[in-house]
Amino acid sequence: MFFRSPVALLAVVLAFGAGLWLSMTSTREAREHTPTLASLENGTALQPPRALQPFSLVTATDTVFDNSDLLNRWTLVFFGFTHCPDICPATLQVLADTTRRLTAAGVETTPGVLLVTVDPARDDAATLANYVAHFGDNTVGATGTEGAIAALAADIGIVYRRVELDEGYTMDHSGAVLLLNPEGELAAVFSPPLNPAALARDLTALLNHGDAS
Amino acid sequence: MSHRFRIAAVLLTILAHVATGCTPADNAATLSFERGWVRTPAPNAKMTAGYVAINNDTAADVRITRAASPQFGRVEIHTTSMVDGVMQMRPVQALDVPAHGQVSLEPGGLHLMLMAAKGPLAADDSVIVTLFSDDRPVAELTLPLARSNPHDE
Repeated sequence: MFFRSPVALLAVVLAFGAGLWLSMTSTREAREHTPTLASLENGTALQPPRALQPFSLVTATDTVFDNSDLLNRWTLVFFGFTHCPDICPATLQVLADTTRRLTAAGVETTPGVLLVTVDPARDDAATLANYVAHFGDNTVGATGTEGAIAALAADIGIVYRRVELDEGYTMDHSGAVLLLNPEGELAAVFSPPLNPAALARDLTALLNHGDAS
Repeated sequence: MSHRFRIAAVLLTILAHVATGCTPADNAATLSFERGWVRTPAPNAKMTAGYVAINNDTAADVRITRAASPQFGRVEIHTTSMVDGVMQMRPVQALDVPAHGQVSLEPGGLHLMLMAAKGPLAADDSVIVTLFSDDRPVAELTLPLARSNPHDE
Protein backbone atom coordinates (compact mmCIF):
# COMPACT_ATOMS: atom_id res chain seq x y z
CA MET A 1 0.00 0.00 0.00
CA PHE A 2 2.98 2.29 0.24
CA PHE A 3 3.65 4.12 -2.93
CA ARG A 4 6.78 2.37 -4.08
CA SER A 5 6.61 3.59 -7.64
CA PRO A 6 5.93 6.92 -9.30
CA VAL A 7 3.02 5.26 -11.09
CA ALA A 8 1.35 4.36 -7.80
CA LEU A 9 1.96 7.85 -6.48
CA LEU A 10 0.57 9.35 -9.68
CA ALA A 11 -2.47 7.08 -9.40
CA VAL A 12 -3.18 8.37 -5.93
CA VAL A 13 -2.78 11.96 -7.00
CA LEU A 14 -5.10 11.37 -9.96
CA ALA A 15 -7.58 9.55 -7.77
CA PHE A 16 -7.58 12.43 -5.33
CA GLY A 17 -7.97 14.92 -8.15
CA ALA A 18 -10.86 12.95 -9.58
CA GLY A 19 -12.44 12.69 -6.14
CA LEU A 20 -12.08 16.41 -5.60
CA TRP A 21 -13.56 17.09 -9.02
CA LEU A 22 -16.44 14.70 -8.44
CA SER A 23 -17.20 16.15 -5.04
CA MET A 24 -17.10 19.62 -6.48
CA THR A 25 -19.39 18.81 -9.38
CA SER A 26 -21.59 16.32 -7.58
CA THR A 27 -25.26 17.15 -7.49
CA ARG A 28 -25.31 15.37 -4.14
CA GLU A 29 -24.00 18.61 -2.78
CA ALA A 30 -27.22 20.31 -1.87
CA ARG A 31 -25.44 23.59 -1.44
CA GLU A 32 -26.13 26.40 -3.84
CA HIS A 33 -22.60 27.72 -3.72
CA THR A 34 -20.13 27.24 -6.49
CA PRO A 35 -17.15 25.61 -4.75
CA THR A 36 -14.16 27.85 -4.61
CA LEU A 37 -10.74 27.87 -3.01
CA ALA A 38 -10.12 30.93 -0.87
CA SER A 39 -6.63 32.04 0.00
CA LEU A 40 -5.66 32.11 3.65
CA GLU A 41 -2.50 33.57 5.10
CA ASN A 42 -0.96 30.10 5.57
CA GLY A 43 -3.13 27.96 3.33
CA THR A 44 -6.34 27.56 1.35
CA ALA A 45 -9.98 27.21 2.45
CA LEU A 46 -12.46 24.99 0.62
CA GLN A 47 -15.78 26.72 0.14
CA PRO A 48 -17.97 24.84 0.71
CA PRO A 49 -16.11 22.24 2.78
CA ARG A 50 -15.95 18.71 1.38
CA ALA A 51 -17.28 15.65 3.18
CA LEU A 52 -14.83 12.81 3.86
CA GLN A 53 -15.32 9.20 2.84
CA PRO A 54 -16.05 6.85 5.76
CA PHE A 55 -12.83 5.84 7.52
CA SER A 56 -11.89 3.85 10.60
CA LEU A 57 -8.59 4.12 12.46
CA VAL A 58 -7.39 3.14 15.93
CA THR A 59 -6.29 5.71 18.49
CA ALA A 60 -3.55 5.55 21.02
CA THR A 61 -5.96 4.14 23.55
CA ASP A 62 -6.86 1.28 21.21
CA THR A 63 -10.32 2.58 20.53
CA VAL A 64 -11.83 3.12 17.12
CA PHE A 65 -11.46 6.61 15.69
CA ASP A 66 -13.80 7.24 12.77
CA ASN A 67 -15.80 10.04 11.13
CA SER A 68 -18.06 10.35 14.16
CA ASP A 69 -15.08 11.30 16.33
CA LEU A 70 -14.64 14.44 14.25
CA LEU A 71 -18.08 15.82 15.04
CA ASN A 72 -18.74 18.89 17.20
CA ARG A 73 -15.15 20.09 17.25
CA TRP A 74 -12.65 21.52 14.79
CA THR A 75 -9.70 19.21 14.16
CA LEU A 76 -6.21 19.83 12.74
CA VAL A 77 -4.83 16.74 11.01
CA PHE A 78 -1.21 15.96 10.22
CA PHE A 79 0.15 12.81 8.61
CA GLY A 80 3.59 11.89 9.97
CA PHE A 81 5.47 9.21 11.87
CA THR A 82 7.46 8.90 15.05
CA HIS A 83 10.76 7.92 13.35
CA CYS A 84 10.87 11.46 11.98
CA PRO A 85 13.04 13.64 14.21
CA ASP A 86 12.90 16.93 12.31
CA ILE A 87 9.78 18.00 10.48
CA CYS A 88 7.15 15.93 12.35
CA PRO A 89 7.91 17.17 15.87
CA ALA A 90 8.49 20.65 14.44
CA THR A 91 5.01 20.59 12.89
CA LEU A 92 3.36 19.27 16.06
CA GLN A 93 5.20 21.92 18.06
CA VAL A 94 3.88 24.60 15.67
CA LEU A 95 0.36 23.27 16.25
CA ALA A 96 0.91 23.32 20.03
CA ASP A 97 2.17 26.91 19.79
CA THR A 98 -0.82 27.80 17.62
CA THR A 99 -3.17 26.30 20.22
CA ARG A 100 -1.51 28.40 22.92
CA ARG A 101 -2.01 31.52 20.84
CA LEU A 102 -5.69 30.71 20.28
CA THR A 103 -6.21 30.12 23.99
CA ALA A 104 -4.45 33.38 24.82
CA ALA A 105 -6.72 35.14 22.33
CA GLY A 106 -9.79 33.88 24.17
CA VAL A 107 -10.81 30.94 21.93
CA GLU A 108 -12.64 28.64 24.35
CA THR A 109 -12.63 25.42 22.35
CA THR A 110 -9.38 25.12 20.44
CA PRO A 111 -9.15 22.58 17.60
CA GLY A 112 -8.13 19.06 18.46
CA VAL A 113 -4.91 17.81 16.86
CA LEU A 114 -4.85 14.43 15.13
CA LEU A 115 -1.59 12.77 14.08
CA VAL A 116 -2.21 9.97 11.60
CA THR A 117 0.84 7.78 11.17
CA VAL A 118 2.04 6.92 7.68
CA ASP A 119 4.26 4.23 9.24
CA PRO A 120 1.89 1.78 10.96
CA ALA A 121 4.58 -0.93 10.87
CA ARG A 122 6.62 0.95 13.49
CA ASP A 123 3.92 3.14 15.05
CA ASP A 124 1.57 1.04 17.12
CA ALA A 125 -1.07 2.61 19.34
CA ALA A 126 1.12 2.66 22.45
CA THR A 127 4.08 4.24 20.65
CA LEU A 128 1.83 6.95 19.28
CA ALA A 129 0.22 7.57 22.68
CA ASN A 130 3.61 8.17 24.23
CA TYR A 131 4.65 10.39 21.36
CA VAL A 132 1.62 12.67 21.07
CA ALA A 133 1.29 13.19 24.84
CA HIS A 134 4.51 15.19 24.56
CA PHE A 135 2.70 17.84 22.48
CA GLY A 136 -0.37 18.49 24.59
CA ASP A 137 -3.46 16.78 25.89
CA ASN A 138 -5.51 17.93 22.90
CA THR A 139 -3.38 15.74 20.61
CA VAL A 140 -4.48 12.27 19.51
CA GLY A 141 -2.43 9.72 17.57
CA ALA A 142 -4.13 7.33 15.18
CA THR A 143 -2.91 4.27 13.37
CA GLY A 144 -4.70 1.58 11.42
CA THR A 145 -4.28 -0.92 8.65
CA GLU A 146 -2.12 0.16 5.73
CA GLY A 147 -5.26 0.13 3.61
CA ALA A 148 -7.28 2.32 5.98
CA ILE A 149 -4.50 4.89 6.27
CA ALA A 150 -3.89 4.93 2.52
CA ALA A 151 -7.59 5.40 1.80
CA LEU A 152 -7.96 8.32 4.21
CA ALA A 153 -4.76 9.91 2.91
CA ALA A 154 -5.95 9.62 -0.68
CA ASP A 155 -9.38 11.01 0.20
CA ILE A 156 -7.91 13.96 2.05
CA GLY A 157 -5.14 14.75 -0.47
CA ILE A 158 -2.06 13.51 1.38
CA VAL A 159 0.64 11.53 -0.41
CA TYR A 160 3.33 9.41 1.20
CA ARG A 161 5.69 6.64 0.26
CA ARG A 162 8.26 4.39 1.81
CA VAL A 163 11.89 5.06 0.83
CA GLU A 164 14.58 2.47 1.54
CA LEU A 165 17.82 3.74 3.09
CA ASP A 166 21.15 1.96 3.52
CA GLU A 167 20.01 1.17 7.04
CA GLY A 168 16.25 0.92 7.50
CA TYR A 169 13.78 3.12 5.72
CA THR A 170 12.10 6.49 5.94
CA MET A 171 8.77 7.86 4.80
CA ASP A 172 8.27 10.77 2.42
CA HIS A 173 5.01 12.48 3.22
CA SER A 174 3.03 15.65 2.53
CA GLY A 175 3.86 18.41 4.96
CA ALA A 176 0.36 19.91 4.85
CA VAL A 177 -1.91 20.29 7.86
CA LEU A 178 -5.64 19.85 7.21
CA LEU A 179 -8.50 21.52 9.02
CA LEU A 180 -11.72 19.56 9.49
CA ASN A 181 -14.84 21.40 10.61
CA PRO A 182 -17.25 20.24 13.35
CA GLU A 183 -19.24 18.35 10.70
CA GLY A 184 -16.11 16.29 9.95
CA GLU A 185 -15.64 17.93 6.54
CA LEU A 186 -12.39 19.13 4.98
CA ALA A 187 -12.49 22.90 5.45
CA ALA A 188 -8.93 24.07 4.79
CA VAL A 189 -5.43 22.98 3.88
CA PHE A 190 -2.45 24.69 5.51
CA SER A 191 0.77 24.47 3.55
CA PRO A 192 4.32 24.49 4.89
CA PRO A 193 6.23 26.44 5.96
CA LEU A 194 3.77 26.74 8.84
CA ASN A 195 3.83 29.80 11.06
CA PRO A 196 2.00 29.73 14.43
CA ALA A 197 1.00 33.41 14.28
CA ALA A 198 -0.38 33.12 10.73
CA LEU A 199 -2.10 29.82 11.54
CA ALA A 200 -3.72 31.33 14.61
CA ARG A 201 -5.04 34.26 12.57
CA ASP A 202 -6.39 31.93 9.85
CA LEU A 203 -8.01 29.63 12.41
CA THR A 204 -9.58 32.52 14.31
CA ALA A 205 -11.21 33.70 11.08
CA LEU A 206 -12.38 30.21 10.07
CA LEU A 207 -13.67 29.22 13.51
CA ASN A 208 -15.59 32.49 13.79
CA HIS A 209 -17.26 31.99 10.43
CA GLY A 210 -18.47 28.47 11.04
CA ASP A 211 -17.88 26.44 7.89
CA ALA A 212 -16.98 29.55 5.92
CA SER A 213 -19.84 28.94 3.50
CA MET B 1 22.28 31.45 26.31
CA SER B 2 23.82 31.65 22.89
CA HIS B 3 26.91 33.46 24.19
CA ARG B 4 27.38 30.99 27.02
CA PHE B 5 26.88 28.14 24.62
CA ARG B 6 29.49 29.48 22.23
CA ILE B 7 32.06 29.79 24.98
CA ALA B 8 31.34 26.23 26.08
CA ALA B 9 31.72 25.00 22.52
CA VAL B 10 35.03 26.78 22.03
CA LEU B 11 36.39 25.56 25.36
CA LEU B 12 35.34 22.04 24.56
CA THR B 13 36.86 22.33 21.14
CA ILE B 14 40.16 23.29 22.68
CA LEU B 15 39.86 20.51 25.26
CA ALA B 16 39.06 18.03 22.50
CA HIS B 17 42.21 19.03 20.73
CA VAL B 18 44.33 18.82 23.82
CA ALA B 19 42.92 15.39 24.45
CA THR B 20 43.62 14.18 20.93
CA GLY B 21 47.03 15.76 20.67
CA CYS B 22 46.05 18.21 17.96
CA THR B 23 47.50 21.68 18.16
CA PRO B 24 45.44 24.87 18.09
CA ALA B 25 47.13 25.63 14.79
CA ASP B 26 44.98 22.95 13.21
CA ASN B 27 42.45 24.63 10.99
CA ALA B 28 39.75 22.60 12.71
CA ALA B 29 40.41 24.42 15.96
CA THR B 30 39.03 27.60 14.47
CA LEU B 31 35.59 26.29 13.73
CA SER B 32 33.09 28.12 15.90
CA PHE B 33 29.53 27.24 16.72
CA GLU B 34 26.36 29.11 17.56
CA ARG B 35 22.59 28.62 17.88
CA GLY B 36 23.00 25.00 18.93
CA TRP B 37 20.16 22.96 20.43
CA VAL B 38 18.60 19.49 20.43
CA ARG B 39 14.87 18.97 20.23
CA THR B 40 13.64 17.42 23.48
CA PRO B 41 12.38 13.99 22.45
CA ALA B 42 9.08 12.56 23.60
CA PRO B 43 9.53 10.35 26.67
CA ASN B 44 10.94 6.98 25.63
CA ALA B 45 11.44 8.16 22.06
CA LYS B 46 14.68 6.76 20.66
CA MET B 47 15.52 9.57 18.28
CA THR B 48 15.57 13.30 17.88
CA ALA B 49 17.34 16.01 15.92
CA GLY B 50 20.16 18.42 16.73
CA TYR B 51 20.86 21.82 15.22
CA VAL B 52 23.83 24.19 15.18
CA ALA B 53 25.39 26.82 12.94
CA ILE B 54 29.00 26.05 12.06
CA ASN B 55 31.36 28.90 11.20
CA ASN B 56 34.61 28.21 9.45
CA ASP B 57 36.94 31.09 10.25
CA THR B 58 39.86 29.63 8.33
CA ALA B 59 41.08 29.95 4.76
CA ALA B 60 40.54 26.25 4.10
CA ASP B 61 37.33 24.32 3.51
CA VAL B 62 36.40 21.88 6.25
CA ARG B 63 34.54 18.69 5.53
CA ILE B 64 32.64 17.10 8.40
CA THR B 65 32.17 13.46 7.61
CA ARG B 66 30.83 11.95 10.79
CA ALA B 67 29.25 12.74 14.14
CA ALA B 68 28.89 10.74 17.33
CA SER B 69 27.35 11.16 20.77
CA PRO B 70 27.90 9.16 23.95
CA GLN B 71 24.14 9.40 24.57
CA PHE B 72 23.08 7.93 21.22
CA GLY B 73 24.00 4.71 19.48
CA ARG B 74 24.14 6.35 16.07
CA VAL B 75 24.35 9.90 14.74
CA GLU B 76 23.90 10.76 11.08
CA ILE B 77 23.82 13.98 9.15
CA HIS B 78 20.47 14.31 7.40
CA THR B 79 18.65 16.89 5.40
CA THR B 80 14.94 17.55 5.06
CA SER B 81 13.68 19.10 1.87
CA MET B 82 10.24 19.82 0.49
CA VAL B 83 9.52 18.71 -3.07
CA ASP B 84 6.07 19.66 -4.35
CA GLY B 85 4.76 19.88 -0.80
CA VAL B 86 6.20 16.46 0.12
CA MET B 87 8.72 16.29 2.96
CA GLN B 88 11.75 14.14 2.18
CA MET B 89 14.48 13.28 4.66
CA ARG B 90 17.75 11.86 3.36
CA PRO B 91 21.20 11.14 4.80
CA VAL B 92 24.03 13.31 3.50
CA GLN B 93 27.58 11.95 3.24
CA ALA B 94 29.38 15.05 4.46
CA LEU B 95 28.94 18.63 5.54
CA ASP B 96 31.19 20.99 3.64
CA VAL B 97 31.86 24.17 5.54
CA PRO B 98 33.52 26.55 3.08
CA ALA B 99 36.50 28.70 4.01
CA HIS B 100 35.30 31.86 5.78
CA GLY B 101 31.78 30.51 5.42
CA GLN B 102 28.97 29.05 7.47
CA VAL B 103 26.73 26.02 7.29
CA SER B 104 23.57 26.19 9.31
CA LEU B 105 21.78 23.12 10.63
CA GLU B 106 18.21 24.14 11.42
CA PRO B 107 14.66 22.72 11.46
CA GLY B 108 13.36 21.82 8.02
CA GLY B 109 16.86 21.53 6.56
CA LEU B 110 20.19 20.01 7.54
CA HIS B 111 20.20 18.39 10.97
CA LEU B 112 22.03 15.89 13.12
CA MET B 113 19.84 12.82 13.34
CA LEU B 114 20.40 11.36 16.80
CA MET B 115 19.29 7.73 16.87
CA ALA B 116 19.15 4.82 19.28
CA ALA B 117 19.09 6.87 22.49
CA LYS B 118 20.94 4.98 25.21
CA GLY B 119 18.64 6.22 27.94
CA PRO B 120 15.99 8.80 28.77
CA LEU B 121 17.05 12.44 28.58
CA ALA B 122 15.94 14.75 31.38
CA ALA B 123 14.58 18.12 30.35
CA ASP B 124 17.60 19.97 31.72
CA ASP B 125 20.17 17.65 30.14
CA SER B 126 22.50 18.61 27.37
CA VAL B 127 23.58 16.44 24.47
CA ILE B 128 27.27 15.96 23.72
CA VAL B 129 28.10 15.64 20.05
CA THR B 130 31.56 15.15 18.56
CA LEU B 131 32.10 16.13 14.95
CA PHE B 132 34.73 14.36 12.88
CA SER B 133 36.60 15.23 9.73
CA ASP B 134 37.56 11.86 8.34
CA ASP B 135 38.50 10.08 11.55
CA ARG B 136 39.80 13.13 13.35
CA PRO B 137 37.59 14.82 15.94
CA VAL B 138 37.27 18.51 15.11
CA ALA B 139 34.88 19.68 17.81
CA GLU B 140 32.92 18.52 20.79
CA LEU B 141 29.62 20.35 21.22
CA THR B 142 27.36 20.59 24.24
CA LEU B 143 23.87 21.24 22.89
CA PRO B 144 21.03 22.24 25.25
CA LEU B 145 17.70 20.45 25.02
CA ALA B 146 14.68 22.56 24.07
CA ARG B 147 11.15 21.91 22.82
CA SER B 148 11.47 24.52 20.10
CA ASN B 149 14.27 26.70 18.81
CA PRO B 150 15.56 28.65 21.86
CA HIS B 151 17.42 31.01 19.53
CA ASP B 152 14.32 32.30 17.73
CA GLU B 153 13.48 35.96 18.38
